[in-house]
Amino acid sequence: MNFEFRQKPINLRTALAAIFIGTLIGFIMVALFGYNPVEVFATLLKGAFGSTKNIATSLRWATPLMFTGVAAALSFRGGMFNFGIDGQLYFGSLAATIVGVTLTGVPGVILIPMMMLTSMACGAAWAFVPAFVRVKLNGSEIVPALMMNYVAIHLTDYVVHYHFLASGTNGDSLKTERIAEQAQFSPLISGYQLTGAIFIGLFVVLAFWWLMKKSKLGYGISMSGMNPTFARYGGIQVDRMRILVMLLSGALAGLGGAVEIMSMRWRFESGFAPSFGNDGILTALLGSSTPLGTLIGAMFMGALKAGSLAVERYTDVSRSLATVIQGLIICFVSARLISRYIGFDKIAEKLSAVFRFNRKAGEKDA
Amino acid sequence: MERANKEVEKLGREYGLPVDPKAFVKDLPVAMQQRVEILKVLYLGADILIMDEPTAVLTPQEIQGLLNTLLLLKEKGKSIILITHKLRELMSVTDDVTVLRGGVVTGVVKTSEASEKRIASMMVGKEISFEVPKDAAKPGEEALRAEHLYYRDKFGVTMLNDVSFTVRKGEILGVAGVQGNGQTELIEVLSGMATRYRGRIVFGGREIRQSDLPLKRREAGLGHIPEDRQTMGAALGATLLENFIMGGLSDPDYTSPGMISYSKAAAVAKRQYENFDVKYASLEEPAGALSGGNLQKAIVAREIYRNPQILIAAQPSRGVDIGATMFIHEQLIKLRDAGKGILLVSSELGEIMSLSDRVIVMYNGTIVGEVDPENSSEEEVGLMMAGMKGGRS
Repeated sequence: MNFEFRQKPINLRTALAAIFIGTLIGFIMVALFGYNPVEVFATLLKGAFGSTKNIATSLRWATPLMFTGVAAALSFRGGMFNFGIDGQLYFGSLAATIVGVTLTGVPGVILIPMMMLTSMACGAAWAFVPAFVRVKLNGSEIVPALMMNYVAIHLTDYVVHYHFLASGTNGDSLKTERIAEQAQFSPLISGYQLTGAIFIGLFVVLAFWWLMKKSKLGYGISMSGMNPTFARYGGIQVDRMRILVMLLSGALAGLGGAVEIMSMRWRFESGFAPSFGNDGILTALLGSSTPLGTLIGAMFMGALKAGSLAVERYTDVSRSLATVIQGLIICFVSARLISRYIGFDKIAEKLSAVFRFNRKAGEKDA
Repeated sequence: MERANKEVEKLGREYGLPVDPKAFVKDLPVAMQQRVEILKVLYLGADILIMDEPTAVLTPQEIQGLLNTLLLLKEKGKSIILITHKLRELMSVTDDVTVLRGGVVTGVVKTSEASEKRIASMMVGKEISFEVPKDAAKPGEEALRAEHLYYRDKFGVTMLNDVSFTVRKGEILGVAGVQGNGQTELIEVLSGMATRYRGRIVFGGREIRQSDLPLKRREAGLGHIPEDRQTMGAALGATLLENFIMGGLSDPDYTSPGMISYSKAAAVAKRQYENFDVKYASLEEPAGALSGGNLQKAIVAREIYRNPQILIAAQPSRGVDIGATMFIHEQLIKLRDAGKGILLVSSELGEIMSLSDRVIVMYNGTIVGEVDPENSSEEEVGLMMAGMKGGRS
């Protein structure tokens, strides 16, 4: 694999231009399908930012992406490509849920940390396999990580079906009992979809910032990702860093799943976290794997999600359209890889030149 | 195919560049490969040849051969642009000289009317003497000892074959040799970048185990200016500051347990870079933005700042202008005079001869001899480098 988007930062302009062009093409597509694009996008924007309640919904969807986004960003910084976030998330959250439905007698202050630690340990364990393949067997970490997503998703279904199925269901919907009440987060403001989970997410982002900006470990991780030969030469144990970064990444993925369950779902349900992993990777890419960038990326993706849910609710357009827009943005962000060939940066430059020109013209008029 | 073979042979005879058209290029020695390269260009009907540092990897004998070829090509009506930083080549084969410094033409002269000194001063902007003056070495205790080192590369080729030597404190031991005769592997084995070797390494009385990684060896007093500054010596995408911190993660000036203070490190880096005359816009700019010479100075500054007891200096002046080369040489001598042991590995024979207190010559993975640079000629060493003659040992 010769992906070079592990470290190279994308600048703000490229990210904005990607979002702009992705949206623009989405706009055209909506029109082509016979809908009114203005109405659809107005609904999308309103759904994301229209009221405090909608903003809360955007933040609610941004929260899991803080975990998976940091998980992805951390692995990229260390020169590893954790494509197995989904699997780690499912495995970790089922383990946490099992703790949550079994130890119902334990008080919340103990039960909640226990569930978190369980999810982190299991997520890390799931991430260890691809790390081991990369470091000890000299293979690629990407393929085993990807494949283990399927294993985790279906294995958790199996375990739920045969051992932890909620009573009253006959397997028509695969879900466990609710976790103990004392482990269920309640909304910060009643009626709003926002819980304390967001603070845990923000803490994770902050911890990521501290790791990269203040600690020796973060320096070792970053240098191992930048140039492993240089890192080895300078006395950094690159293999150790690679394993560590994958374990941390997996732990964060698992934690993200457990927090989602404690915060919103209160039970493990088949397919409860659709594409949190891939969205996390996109989040990290949008934010060029920096702490602040990842936070902004998560917010953006969360807003897009909240907006698309509104689109689905209030218009005839399917939610998949928002997914299409997301996909287009991914394309254009990664298009900076080939920007030399299609002149993408030049387009961005031209656009900003046009804006400057307009502004100047406006100044003249005034 | 047959016709092409004949054509190549004919061309080879015509230009005095005989090659076997059926040989595989990978099996040929470097000088021969270069010959193929030149023939290829001639075969394609070129009239102008641009050669960028063509003698960098050749022995003195091979260089002479190449220069003769260039003269012959000139006679046959070809135009040649020779880019080089070696004055001797310049003086012996060129007709006109254009000197570039920092992207600006600083002089255009007829070679016949110029002197080496004058061209050199155009290159650096001031009159210089080539050799950095130095006092006689005062070698002290042993700083580095290597005993019976054997090493095979990943293809199973023996690259080090029973290599033993000692570097004392306060001396520069030069390792001469044409590239690819085991010097790179020797450095990797000493620095801990390669661990599958046999033999014994001692740093200042401290036994280095085979499994000791680069960190352990740095802690034991090793500094290392690597031969490849682009991949090993620096992370080009990382900032200058991050590059400076490498290898200094236990420096009490800017680290505390587990943590780094980048602002304190910046103050240190700024001071040290200033001492070493590294020109940069900001410590936050990527190392890749620096010119080759500046980057090399930054690497030397970093490694010397760590106060190593033993310094491996590999190709310390490769691709660096004369001013920076002299500066780096001065620093190495200063370090020597401060009682550190220096292992200088260079394919630049002039550098080896002028800096070293003792010189060992490597050929084909073994040390074929030791010479005293004061009392031997470059030709003598050149012959040993080409495996023609065992020297006095």
